[in-house]
Amino acid sequence: MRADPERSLAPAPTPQARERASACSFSHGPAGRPWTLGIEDIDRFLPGHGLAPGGLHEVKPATPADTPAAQALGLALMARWLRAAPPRARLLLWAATWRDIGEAGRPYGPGLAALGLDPAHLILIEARRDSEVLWAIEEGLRAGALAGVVGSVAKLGLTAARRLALAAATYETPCLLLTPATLPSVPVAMSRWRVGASPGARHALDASLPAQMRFHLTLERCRGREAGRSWIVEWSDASFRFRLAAPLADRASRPGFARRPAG
Amino acid sequence: MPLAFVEAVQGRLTLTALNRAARREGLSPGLALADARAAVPGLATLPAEPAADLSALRRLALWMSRYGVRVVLERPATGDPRKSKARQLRAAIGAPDGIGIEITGVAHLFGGEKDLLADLVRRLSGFGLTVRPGLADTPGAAFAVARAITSGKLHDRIVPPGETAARLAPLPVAALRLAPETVMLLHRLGLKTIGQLAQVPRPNLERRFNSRDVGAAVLTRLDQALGVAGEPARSLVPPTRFGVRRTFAEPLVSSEGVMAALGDLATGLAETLAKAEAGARRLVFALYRSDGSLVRIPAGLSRPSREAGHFHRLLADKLAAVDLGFGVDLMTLAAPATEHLGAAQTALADLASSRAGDVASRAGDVALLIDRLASRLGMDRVLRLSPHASHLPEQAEVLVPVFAEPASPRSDPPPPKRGGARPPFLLPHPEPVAVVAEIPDGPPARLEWRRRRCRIVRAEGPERIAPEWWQPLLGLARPDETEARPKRRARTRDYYTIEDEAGRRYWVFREGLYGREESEAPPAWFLHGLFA
Repeated sequence: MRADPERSLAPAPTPQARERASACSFSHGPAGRPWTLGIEDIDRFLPGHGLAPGGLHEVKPATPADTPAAQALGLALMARWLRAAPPRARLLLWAATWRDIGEAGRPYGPGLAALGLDPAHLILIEARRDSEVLWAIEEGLRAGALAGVVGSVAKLGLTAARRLALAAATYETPCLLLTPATLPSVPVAMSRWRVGASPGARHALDASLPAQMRFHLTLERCRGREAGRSWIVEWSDASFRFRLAAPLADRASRPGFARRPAG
Repeated sequence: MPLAFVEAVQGRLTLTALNRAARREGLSPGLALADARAAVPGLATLPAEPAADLSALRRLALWMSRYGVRVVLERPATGDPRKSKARQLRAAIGAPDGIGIEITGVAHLFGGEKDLLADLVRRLSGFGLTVRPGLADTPGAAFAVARAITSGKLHDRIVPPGETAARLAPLPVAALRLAPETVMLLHRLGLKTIGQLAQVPRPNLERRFNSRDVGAAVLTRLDQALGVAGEPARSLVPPTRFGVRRTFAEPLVSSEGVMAALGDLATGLAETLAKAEAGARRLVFALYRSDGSLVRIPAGLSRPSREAGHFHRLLADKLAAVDLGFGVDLMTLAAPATEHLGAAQTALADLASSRAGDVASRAGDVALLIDRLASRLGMDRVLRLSPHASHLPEQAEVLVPVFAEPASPRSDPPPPKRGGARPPFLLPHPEPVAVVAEIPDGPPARLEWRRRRCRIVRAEGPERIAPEWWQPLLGLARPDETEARPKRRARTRDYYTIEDEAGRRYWVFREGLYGREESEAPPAWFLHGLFA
């Protein structure tokens, strides 16, 4: 594993330590834990200092070509939540249709480690139709025994979305829905993230090599918060953490800041 | 009104089945339609549907499994039962026209053999069927009684134990399930009844036939009817060791009633399994509808279980979609596949853990979830990733049904990371891409994939993966080739992790090395995985 400066220089109670501590005292379902991105700037902005664990969250690619980016971010986000769960309860259900798998690939164990996900925790559903994916997601949520559910659907009706949101809330199991870029979004989701690929970080030694992956993340909708904020986040595959890649990127979108005269 | 079913046999229309009125006119099956029309001008005909007949008979036979453990379809003549050339056999076999049920150890449930037969006749008559029952010690004797005895009284159709030889003696030899030619031969020899046949010394009998096979066939059938020789039969429904059944005096018509009865059956089965220290891996729930049809609901379990609640929930899902018709008067729940399951288990442990709100009960919930997913979507669609010792990326991991092993955290450590980065998403098949790259082993500078072009700004590689020479893997098809897997030896792959100007990352490889593996086809590029 690469030496990660963040880890060694971190102040005493790191977010991970807090998560570990809360995982130890876990006794009555996962509701007590926050589901953070691990980036203070974003977590502070979200209601409840993180994503709502008992809710439906939508992750959409910015363009169809960004689907893998959306998938990767979704799984990385879920992996963060899983690592905070007690070891026996870390199962994750991943459901997609054959068509989606052909488009953007299926999770590949040897590569999932880089997202911080143990392939042994994954149950894969390869469905024939979207309706089967929706059914599997709902069953997974209603079982109340999984740490989370990730589903990729090409079509989603309002009724189906409501059912999922209700199941996620009732059984306090987080649900990430990966939907196509062009699909109108569902109003019942607790949050909606638009994910695009972003040119990766510069490699410390050789600029021609790829380094940490970056995502362009836009919070398009969030219950109880104004939407439209965007960040560029960087994924560290050594420490399995997100960090803000370019704090400046956000300032430009804040009204008044960019237009301030230079002198 | 005389009615006949006709079928084209060797180019001419032939009668295959007749109603009573037609028989009274002197017609018989096998007659040509033209001849029959000449004799009976008013003969009504319908086309025969042998396939539909067979499936109807099969359905009825399945429903009849309520009366016994083994159900078989009976054929009128099966030629030589011991050995026969395949062609002879095909010619001699007739379409099944009867149902055989083994009722050993079952009759007392219905109040005796006579009551069982009476119940059977009553129900089948209720469906509008004409029944010719026969009950005897052996399948052969029951077959003969059912077909050769004309009396309608049940008393005459039940052969008491030990009286088989005496009761069969007056019956014609045709009742022995012999091919028609053999029957004719026996008639010519003056052997009209089974009794006469049985009295002939066996060596004499064998010598009288022109072929040994025919003699052996006659003797075997005779022995089988008399219970001297055994007769293996393959049941339509495999008999199960673990099963419970429940009959209802009045057919159940409400789904609530059926659901409640299912709960009872599940408890009963769980107790039966507990006594044998077994756990079910497969369940079959059968509903016998009073209109003579049967609904079978199978379900698989991801790990052996004997929890009644689990059985109930699993089957209740599928029960909702079942049409109960005119009601259900018999239900059975069987576990055709079981595994050993020790005594320390389940209910108590689960109770304790759920009270503590612990995660152990989650394991049970997960098993139930997997069972439900697999029973609806299919076992091969609920998968988990399993590492496999191979250098080839697509073989370094196999997808196995979750059923293969309970979904639990892996005990052995993950395989050590070899080589370079691996993408989190792998395409099911490597896709050909158009690439501009430096020859011989430069990374791609431009990439065209799915009609999208991009410029590559960063790249890492190559990571060279040689084919496994001990595996006869076929080569990959280039974009201009139509064949999915050309007959070519697999070649070395050079993998690159590349990033385009928008930050999207791909995992691509070049199959084939320039200068060394070009002889059969030029090297080609493929996209195999996606990072982001």
